[in-house]
Amino acid sequence: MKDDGFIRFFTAKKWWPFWGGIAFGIVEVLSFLIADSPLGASKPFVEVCSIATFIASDKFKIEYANVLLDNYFSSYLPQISWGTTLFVGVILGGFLSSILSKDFKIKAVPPMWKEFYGPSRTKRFFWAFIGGIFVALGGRFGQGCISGQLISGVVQLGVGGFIFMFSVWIGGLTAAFVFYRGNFFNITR
Amino acid sequence: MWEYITQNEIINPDNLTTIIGRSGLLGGLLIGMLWGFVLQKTQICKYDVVARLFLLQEFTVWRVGTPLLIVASFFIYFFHDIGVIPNLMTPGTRIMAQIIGGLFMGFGIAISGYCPGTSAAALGEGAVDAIFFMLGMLVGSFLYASMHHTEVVQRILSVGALTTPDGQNITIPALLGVNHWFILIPFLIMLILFDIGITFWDLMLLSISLPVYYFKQAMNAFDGFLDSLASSFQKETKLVQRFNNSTDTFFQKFSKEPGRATSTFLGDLRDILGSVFKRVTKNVK
Repeated sequence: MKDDGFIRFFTAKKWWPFWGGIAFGIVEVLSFLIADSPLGASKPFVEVCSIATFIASDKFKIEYANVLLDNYFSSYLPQISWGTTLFVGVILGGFLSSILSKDFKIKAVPPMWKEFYGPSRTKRFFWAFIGGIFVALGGRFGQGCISGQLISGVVQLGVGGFIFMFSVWIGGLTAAFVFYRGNFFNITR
Repeated sequence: MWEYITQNEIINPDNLTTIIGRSGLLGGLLIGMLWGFVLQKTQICKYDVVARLFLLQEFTVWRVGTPLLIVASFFIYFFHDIGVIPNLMTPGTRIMAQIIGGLFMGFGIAISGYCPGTSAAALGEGAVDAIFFMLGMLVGSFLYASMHHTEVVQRILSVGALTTPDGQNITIPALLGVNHWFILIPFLIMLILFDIGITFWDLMLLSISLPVYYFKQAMNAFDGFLDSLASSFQKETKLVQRFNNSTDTFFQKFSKEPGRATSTFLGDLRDILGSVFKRVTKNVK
């Protein structure tokens, strides 16, 4: 029973990317069929911000919060919607999969970061925080994150998806060049 | 507190156990679990994979993304033609804002290694730095919300905003005025060829990296052997010291500038061998 192909498929550490991509595509089509909505992961953050400003204006009576609620958060209501539970589901799904493949481990610094920048946890948390600010700003300018704009845009052949794909690639290459000081093709595995 | 939440419509309690539909909260949880499972199994939620993608060493993200685009675009347009999916939900197009947004986002992804979806899967996998990424995303969303109604942002958002004449978001088939299969079939063929190409490139990189790795291990072992040989002499002669220094600098500088390090090392070797030869032939004369 342990060497059964079915069990081994679900407890493997890494799927061959071809099957993983097909599975990802099936999940995307399922979300279109069942929930009438493409997958997207940047909406929950806007909703949490919107709920926080709602509480700030309702309970703490901060004036600036009312301005924000009228301006930006009128199109993103302070209401927990499908996207937020999707996000919570992704956390649970990752947890379940890592438990099944015995890959679950509380780790703070990724191995490749440790090799290039040292094991300092504060540095890694700081740069993750800065990266988060940039990703959120870029996502809100470009009407969505990678899954919401790039994947959904290109899958439905939208013009914006292709433009966004090219600019993400250019931005990422320049950032990697600046950060790793041109250590391209430095094979360290 | 539950009354506060339901009165102000933070959670609509009718939707709590709905599975099907746009606002079904339980359905979102289940689809999210499937998505998180796939994200963690393909390992694209790890920092290593994303950083190596931008360093052009490991193309797992593209090898996952290409079958995704093939399968999803084919089936979504197929179901759209049959009638199962009545309306497509294409995201909007604003050319200037998407160029700027994409640059920012690419910068953020290359630094932190996470995208919003993969950071959730990484948190499920146990990576604690995803929490700080999410905090940064909250701060960033808040920053954008406070910037949204200034004039600069509104002008950026309005440059190149394209829609179809009846106000829907634009797709390439609608832009060019053709049936979507004319665009889709060449696109799928291009994606299939691209997938074959990067799969072979990835396998080739993997087959090169192992011999290089073993070569570096062998050089390190040889270095250790030379150290033990030098210390077995009671006093280190000047020549052995010189040889040790030149090998040390060679290994230090090789990863940064291999050409210059190799030529310096070969020059030093030539000098050392020359002085060894001189010393040997001095006794012969």
